[in-house]
This record gives sequence, structure tokens and C-alpha cells, in this order.
Amino acid sequence: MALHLNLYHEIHRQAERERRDPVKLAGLAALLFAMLLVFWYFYRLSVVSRVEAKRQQVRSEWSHLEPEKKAAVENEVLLLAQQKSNQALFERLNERFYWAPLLDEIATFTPTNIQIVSFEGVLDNGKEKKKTITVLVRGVAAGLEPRTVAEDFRRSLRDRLAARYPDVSVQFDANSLEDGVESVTLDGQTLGTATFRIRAQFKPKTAQ
Amino acid sequence: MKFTKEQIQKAGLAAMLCGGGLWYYAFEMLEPLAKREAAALKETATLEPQIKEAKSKIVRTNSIEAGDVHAAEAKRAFAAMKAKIPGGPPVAWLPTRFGEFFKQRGIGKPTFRGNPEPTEPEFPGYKGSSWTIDLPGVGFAAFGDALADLENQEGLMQITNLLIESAATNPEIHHTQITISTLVKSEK
Repeated sequence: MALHLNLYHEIHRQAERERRDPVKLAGLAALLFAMLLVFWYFYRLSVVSRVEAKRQQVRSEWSHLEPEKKAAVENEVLLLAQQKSNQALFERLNERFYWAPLLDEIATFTPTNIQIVSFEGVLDNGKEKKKTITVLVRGVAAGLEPRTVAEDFRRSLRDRLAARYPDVSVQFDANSLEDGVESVTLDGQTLGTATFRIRAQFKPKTAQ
Repeated sequence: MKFTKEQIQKAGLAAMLCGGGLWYYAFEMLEPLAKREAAALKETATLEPQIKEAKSKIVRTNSIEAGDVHAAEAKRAFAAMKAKIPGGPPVAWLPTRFGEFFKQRGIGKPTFRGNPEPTEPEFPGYKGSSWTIDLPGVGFAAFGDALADLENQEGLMQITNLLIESAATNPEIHHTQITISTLVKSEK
């Protein structure tokens, strides 16, 4: 076994002591810790910068949109009112009820043994989209069986109206169909009379 | 291992410096950052829904304008109304205009009576006006023709009541009465 002499053992011990010097080790640990803190600070700084950049972008977008939104809110009220007016005007122009064709229809099909004494028509605007036409026809029917003539006229009126308008109802007013006191001469025949009052109700057609 | 007094003093001083440094780091460096971040997040979180709402509001408003299918027709109709309806109160022009209309068709002496203003949908610058027109002594055929012409000419007018009564003495002659509802310029 070879003899090994370490002539530098003092120096080595000193170096070993210095290497394990707690002050130095603590200093190194503190330096490492400080570096971690600095790294963490800059990491947080970059995160916050990104968040602030996003806020700046949102602010900028809002500064453009806010006046547009205000204008849109003001315009919306005006546009809705305008739209309502436009719709109402369109309906007024296009969904009117024309009385002349109705008069023409009644005048055309009324037989000679029926005389209409009065015609009264009422347009009830009612609520939205619920216009109703009520027609009251007073007249005199002449015939061998004048009540039957009046009933035929009522049916005929109902059928004619039903062909043109929806929801038609044609009825004699209560106790309005009565035998007349007078008789008339028609085509050389003396005929009895009946007076009647017919109430017709229907909805106007939306597109005339 | 035994520390000398000087080492202990140095260690104490170092500990105090470290404590101070940590305090400064935490409260003077990190905390302001956290406050800035919280403020930015809060503002962003407040503005983002507002931006979303504003965008939808703008889109909705634009869609109202685009979705008004009657806009073009109504614009033309309003322009025609403006040209056709005279200004001033209707009593100053309506009886004259309608009187002339019936006169041209051989129906003379109509009388006019103004009715309470009918409720009309709001047309900016216009209001409803209702009139009852009496036409005494009219033949049915002449009245029917005049009525058809009137309904075709006066697009804004709606006849709300129509009464035709035979005269007691002559069933060929009628007393007729129409109630019309139309639009006139409001005097605002």
C-alpha cells in the first residue's frame, strides 16, 4: 500500500470550510430567492400589461359604440313610430271597405217583387283587425206568399254576401217580418205584402 | 458551531433587511400590480356586456329600418297626401271640395256637418277628421256612380256610415247620408 501524504490538507480544509460557509450559502440562497422574486414580478407585470391592453381595446371600442348606441336608441323610437305609421297607412289604403260594389250587388240581385225602403250600413272599426260591417235593410216583399218572398230574399242576400265576404250572418231582426196592411199590383196581379228588416253582418275582405 | 456577537449582529441586520425587502416587494411592488389588474378586469367586465348590448341594439335598430316592408309605399303615399291635402282647418276646404265633387255629378245641395275627431293611428303631421254629408233628393243610380267615383278618388277616405232612405212620396228619390272619415293636416 503506497503511502499518500496530503501536504495541502490545511488548504483543502480551509477551502472546504469556505465552501460550506453558512453566510455564503445563505447569501446564495438569498440571491436565488431574490431572482425568483424578480422573475415573478416581471411575469406579473406582463400579465397585468396584457389585461390593461385588453381594457384599453375595450375602452376604445366602447368610445366608438356608445354614441352609435345612443343614436340607435333614439332612432329606434322614431323608426318604430314610423313603422307603425307606415303599417297603419298601408292598412288604411289597402284594407278599405268599398261600399259601391256592395250597393251594386244588392241592386243587381234584388227581385222586382222586393222594394228596399231603406238601407243603412255601418262600418265598425272595432279593435285591431276586427272590422265589421253591419247592414240594415228595410223593405217590402210582395207575392202570393209575401213572407216566403222575404225569406227567399234573405237567403239570396246571405248567399250573395257569403260569396264575397267572410263571416256572413243575415237574419231578420226580431219580430220584424210582418204581414203588410197594403196590397200591391205587380204585373197585373194583386199581391199581398210583408214588411221586413234584415240585419246582415260580415267582415270586410282585406284585399279588395 | 458558535456564532460570534458580530456574526449575530450581521445576521440580525441581514434578517431585518430581508424582511424590509420582502415587505417592499409585497406591498409596494406586487400589491399595486394586483390593484391595477383588478381595476382593469373590473372595467373590462363592465364594458364587455355593454358593448355586446350596444351591438345588438344597433343591429336591431338597423333591422327595423330594413324590415319595414311598407316603407317605400308609405313614403309615396305620404308624399301624395302632402300634395293632395290642403293646409288649414278642414272646414275651410273639405265641404267645398266634396260639394264640388257631387255638383259635377249632378248631385246638388249637399250639406256638411263636422263630427268629433275620430281616433286614428298616429300619422305624423296628420289627424283624423269625420264629416257627415247629407244628400237630399238623389236618384239611386246617380248616387251609386258618385259613391264609386268618390271611393276611387279619395284613397284616404273611408265611409263609416251610409244611409239611403226612399222618400215617402217618391220611392225613386232617396235621401242619402254618408259619414266619412279621412285624414287632414294637423295644425301643430
